[in-house]
Amino acid sequence: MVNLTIDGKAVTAEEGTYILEAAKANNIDIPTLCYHPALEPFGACRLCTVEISSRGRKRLVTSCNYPVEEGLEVSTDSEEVIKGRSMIVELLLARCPNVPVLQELAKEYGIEKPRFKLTPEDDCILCGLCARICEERMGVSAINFVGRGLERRIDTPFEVQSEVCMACGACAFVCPTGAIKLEDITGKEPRPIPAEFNLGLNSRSAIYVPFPQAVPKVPVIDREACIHFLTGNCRTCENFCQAKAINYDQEDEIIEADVGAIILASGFDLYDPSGLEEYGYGKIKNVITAMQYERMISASGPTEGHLKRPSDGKTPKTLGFIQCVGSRDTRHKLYCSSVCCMHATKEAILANEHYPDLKSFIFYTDLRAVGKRFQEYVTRAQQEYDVTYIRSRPSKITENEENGNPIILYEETTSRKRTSMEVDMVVLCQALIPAGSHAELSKILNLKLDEYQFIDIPDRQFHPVDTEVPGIFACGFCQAPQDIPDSVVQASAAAARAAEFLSKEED
Amino acid sequence: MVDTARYFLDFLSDESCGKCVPCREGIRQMLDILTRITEGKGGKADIELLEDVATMVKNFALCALGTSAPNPVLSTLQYFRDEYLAHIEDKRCPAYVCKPLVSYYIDPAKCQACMLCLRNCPVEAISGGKNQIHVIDQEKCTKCNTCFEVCPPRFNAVRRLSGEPVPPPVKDRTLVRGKS
Repeated sequence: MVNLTIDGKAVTAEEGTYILEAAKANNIDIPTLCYHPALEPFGACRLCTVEISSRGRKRLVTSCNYPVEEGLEVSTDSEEVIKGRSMIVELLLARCPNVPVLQELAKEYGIEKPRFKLTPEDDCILCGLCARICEERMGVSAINFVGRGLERRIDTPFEVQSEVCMACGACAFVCPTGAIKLEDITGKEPRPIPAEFNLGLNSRSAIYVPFPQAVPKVPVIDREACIHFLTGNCRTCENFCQAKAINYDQEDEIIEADVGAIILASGFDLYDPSGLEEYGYGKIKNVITAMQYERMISASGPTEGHLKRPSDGKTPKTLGFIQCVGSRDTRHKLYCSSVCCMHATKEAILANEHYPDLKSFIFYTDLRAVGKRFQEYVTRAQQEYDVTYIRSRPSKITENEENGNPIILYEETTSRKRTSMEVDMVVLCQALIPAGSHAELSKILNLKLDEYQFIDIPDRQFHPVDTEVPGIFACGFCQAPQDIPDSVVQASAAAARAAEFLSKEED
Repeated sequence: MVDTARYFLDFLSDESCGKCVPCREGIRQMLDILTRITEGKGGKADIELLEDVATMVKNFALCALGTSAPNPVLSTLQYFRDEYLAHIEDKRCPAYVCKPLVSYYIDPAKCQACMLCLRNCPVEAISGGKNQIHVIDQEKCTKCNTCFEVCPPRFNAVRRLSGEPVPPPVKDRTLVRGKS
């Protein structure tokens, strides 16, 4: 360890590290533009210049690439340093007057307007972060500096779209000014990774926390998308993780446990509505699923709780909820998914709470408000939240090509009247199916499935959570469609049955 | 001297690698300011600005080319500040090298109508003839200095003017010889 003082504060730093790192570790702010913790120091922007005095001699050095020395005295805010930095900012601002990062810095250094002739050509400040991350981390070198002196700029070889570029977007990501346009570099389309938890409404990075309440709440690396697993390069996350927790060698583990009883609670998956071609899911932009809607209206979702329809980002004024999408359908799932009538009602109420002039129309087959006070809830939705229930079975959804509005064609089953309605956005309340892991699990455990692929419960009357195999119990959606209160009741029942079974064994 | 500094920076703008901001952007702007001054468009604040940029580049640039790039500016500012002031305040180039600030003029009292300058002018900006005093058309003149060089020293009729207006041509241009 090396001892030095920064702005009069005694600081220790590891040998071989640089002044900037020591300052950052001690919360001493030094402005930078071309520095990035994952890259070798470059020393081009000169903004991190500090004054050092060593053995009685003062001089100016860039802190990003000056190694710490024993007894070094560093001043990050001497008059000369501040004056020079503000001149650098002023020069850069003359070059790129529209860049927010520079405007911020200019404000900090009290520069209202550069005194120089403005020479705005592009927003590039030539910090080289893009070229360096491409070379050092991605191992590609698709872009680099071209030209010398005042002609210097960032470009691809021969100014043609690069063949070697992977369209990973690292250059655009590190660019502090937003000057990098991926389409200038490559003809390849960048492929954003759709965020699974938000049903592809937005994208995520290759290292991510699966969802806000994930347990344990730790990030995971997506091996299919991570550049390190694809090419062996990058390893940038390693530089940022202060806890040194990144482990590229971790593998899945199979844990064998000797247990006396098993409770299955594998839950449900969503039925893919793209099989129902008449509703145009995936083709008509403003037709979304109920789960996508749920993420949209959630404060932790991709739109932070604001309803924005996918085609143009506008807030819809009318919503159409289509019930039984795939449920109670001889071509798809015969059963009623049990929860959709109520969740559609809840979504419609939420929408009206967010936007009081928003109207919702729920196109239902039979309204199944089976539960304590559920019917009152529906009545409240009608009376207080502008929700209209239409007993019908929509036959088709088409798109108004002018404004992107979906048009619902339907028959009112009470009056047998065929009609249509144009709404701003359609929400498909799709069928729920037993979770994907379910079939394999039942095979391993030697359990029978019923005709709808749920776990078969032989005696629903008196043993509602007992499977065919003694000691294996099933609760929740894996054995029959049900809502949360019912699942909780069944979970308690299964736990009690398991405890009973285990105590019997001990006797 | 201002032009000398400008010449050096023009050279350096080609030689700079462009990696660091002080050298690349500093030279760009110093060259711009110096060009402005040599064209007579300099303002009072330019000298101070030039000094500020030059000092920063000297202290903050990455390599020796950058740190020595402002030397021509700093040393001319130190020893020939009056020349800078002449350019900015009087729009006068004491060395008669900044073309936009210099005019060529034939003194009618000295011109002997020898036709030398008239024949040598590359843009035919000089009118006159035998026994007719020569006059330079200021619109056509490219300030190439040829007339000044060829005018025989014993006549010394071609004059360079800077910071003062060119007198209008005499009306009667017939040369009267035999004057003392």
